[in-house]
Amino acid sequence: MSLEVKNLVKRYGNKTVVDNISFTMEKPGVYALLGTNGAGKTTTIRMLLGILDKDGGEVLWNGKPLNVATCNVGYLAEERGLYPKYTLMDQIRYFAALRGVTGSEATKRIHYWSDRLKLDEYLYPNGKKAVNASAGARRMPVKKQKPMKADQLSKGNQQKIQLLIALLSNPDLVVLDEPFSGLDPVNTDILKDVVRELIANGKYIIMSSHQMEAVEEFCTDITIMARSKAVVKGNLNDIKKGYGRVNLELKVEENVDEFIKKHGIEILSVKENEYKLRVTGDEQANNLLKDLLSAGINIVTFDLKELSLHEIFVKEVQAREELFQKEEAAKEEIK
Amino acid sequence: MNKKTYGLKGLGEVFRFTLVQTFKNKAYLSSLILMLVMSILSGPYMYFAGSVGEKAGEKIGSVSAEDLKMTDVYVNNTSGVKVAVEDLVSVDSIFENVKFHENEAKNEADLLAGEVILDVATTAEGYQIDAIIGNESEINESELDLLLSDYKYAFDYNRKTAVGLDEEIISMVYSSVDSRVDTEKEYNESQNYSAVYNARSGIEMAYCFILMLVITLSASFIAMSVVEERASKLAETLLMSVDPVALLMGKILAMMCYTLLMIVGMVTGFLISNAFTSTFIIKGKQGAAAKMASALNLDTIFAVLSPLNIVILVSFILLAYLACSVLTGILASSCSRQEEVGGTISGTTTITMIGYFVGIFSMQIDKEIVHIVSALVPVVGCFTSPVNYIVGNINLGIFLLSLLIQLVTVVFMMWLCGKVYKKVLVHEGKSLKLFDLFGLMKK
Repeated sequence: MSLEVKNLVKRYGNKTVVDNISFTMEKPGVYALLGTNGAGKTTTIRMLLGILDKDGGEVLWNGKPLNVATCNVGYLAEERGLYPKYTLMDQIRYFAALRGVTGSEATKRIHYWSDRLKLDEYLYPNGKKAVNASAGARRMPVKKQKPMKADQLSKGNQQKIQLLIALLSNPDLVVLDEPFSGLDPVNTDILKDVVRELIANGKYIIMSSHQMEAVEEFCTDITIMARSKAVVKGNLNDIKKGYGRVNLELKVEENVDEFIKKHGIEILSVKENEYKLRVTGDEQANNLLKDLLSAGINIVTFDLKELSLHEIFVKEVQAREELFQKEEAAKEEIK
Repeated sequence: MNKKTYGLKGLGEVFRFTLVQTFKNKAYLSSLILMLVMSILSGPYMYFAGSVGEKAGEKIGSVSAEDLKMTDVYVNNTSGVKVAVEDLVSVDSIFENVKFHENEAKNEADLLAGEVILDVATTAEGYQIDAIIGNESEINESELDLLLSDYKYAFDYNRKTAVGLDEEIISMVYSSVDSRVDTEKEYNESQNYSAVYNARSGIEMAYCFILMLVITLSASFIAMSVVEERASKLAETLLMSVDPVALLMGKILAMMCYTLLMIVGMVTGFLISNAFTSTFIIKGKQGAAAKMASALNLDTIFAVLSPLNIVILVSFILLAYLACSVLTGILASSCSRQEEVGGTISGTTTITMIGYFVGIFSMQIDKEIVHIVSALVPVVGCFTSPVNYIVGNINLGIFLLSLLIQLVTVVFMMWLCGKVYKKVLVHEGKSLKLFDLFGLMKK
């Protein structure tokens, strides 16, 4: 299986909101679609899924145009939404039926994902099985609780319900638009576990997120969008290598400001002899190390790393923004 | 044509889910139960309300059984025409507490305050009925007028039957005389008027009422259901699995089932209630509901309509319902909040009311051109065309043309839905107006 997105374009009047976005997934994994607010990520996803009509480009799944009616796709939309006044189980079964999952198979899958996403107390308020007291103890009558409705849940739990709905049909392609937004750390970890499971099961996952740590944890390939265009695209490791190893984390037992300034190294932050430095490359870092060792400075940590995804994102988006402003200024001059 | 846009994938699931949730909704369920209960209680209620009215009527002319001063009536009938006390119209109502004494002599000087002598005799000119009261009588004039009027009517009827006139002849003698002016053509046509034609006003009124009820009851249900998905931000998730036309049609069909169930339940409850009232409460007499049905010619209507006529009427009800419902759904999809629904369904309501009044009034106008033109207007034609065809105001050709126009209207609505429904559902920003929808169509 493979997914090919070729030259997607979307315009609203004279404004191009998605400008020639292309990427490919040759093997299962997570593809990250990143970008600033309003960059066009959600619009790209909607075109990919056929929710919005494309003004250009095509989306191919296994070499054929992607059709969500025939291709098994699970989608967690950016806009969180459930029927507020219907019971959760009714809604879940409804969406499962729409994806062709009914009866005992639906029950089995709901049980499974409810357990994985820690939703049992909301979906089964009276327990999955009859509540029995231990043998020999007198049975006390238990007041049956009413099935829960969506508006009784927190935003985070509603989001988990929607994720459950997206995964019920065991989709081959999973599209998650901002899956971590609004989740507390515990639920974030739960979701990460689910993503790991999906990867292990050979799913193709497209994820859009602003949480760079989560993206770095799972994603092999990324596209960063800014102002409707792709500013960075490709394998994450290759992209990072392209920027070189320029982040140096240095921990020593005494103040070494003089050494750092002598080599012209930028100090990003310092806290009690723990330094975060920006070097130009391996050579500069090695020269500093030699100097410190020669001076007999005790070094606790010397860690030379690549730029983080967050830093790459900010750097590239700012560059794109500056370019955009110049283009706009040029257009104004022409007018 | 994009198969996904116009397909019906997911129709069954949307229909089932919407119908189940409608009956689980306390407001909808309460409305249904309330309507059924009201229809079941309608028979006894209308009977007792009508009885109160009759009792109120008994006070006409300041005469009522409770306030009656009259206590005894001494009938002295020497005319030879027998009149039994039971023949008096008001004997069981106004005069229920009055004692009638037949062939019991009473001296005028001995009359008490509540007593009256009714003296019926033959004179040279005919017959004379006198009411004699005492000098200290407390009986008021209106009571005496009523007694004399009742006795006179019964006397007149009995004297005619006594000479051999049967009820039919008497009815003819007592019947009114109408007159009118016709052209030769109108006169010849009127000789051939069918029973259906004669019942045309009743048929049109009943049909238009049912059609208006079905459309207006459903419009708000459908609009609320559509807006709910937009307001809940569910549209994207749904459109992944359901074709846009199917998403709307599933709701429309579910609401149609609910509305029809309500109407059928009300009519059934009404009929059962009326039958129960006639059988057990008023024991064989015509109940208030049956009287009303007779006044509206409803009993005649059901007698003259053939099964084919019924099929024609039901078909047009479905066509009008589909056209209006799809339009309501499309307009409602542009609303992002429940508060905006009211303005949306006003369009559908306006079209329905126009159709209703055109239907009612056009049947009163005996002009062929009016019937033809009204039959050919989309949606409005559903109110006029079927009944006009059934009663013979329009021919088969015009009727089929009208049917074609209504079918094309429904198909157009479906096409419009396929074009714009998905786009409107996922639209973000300000609410869309009708002109904006046409703009979306072009894209």
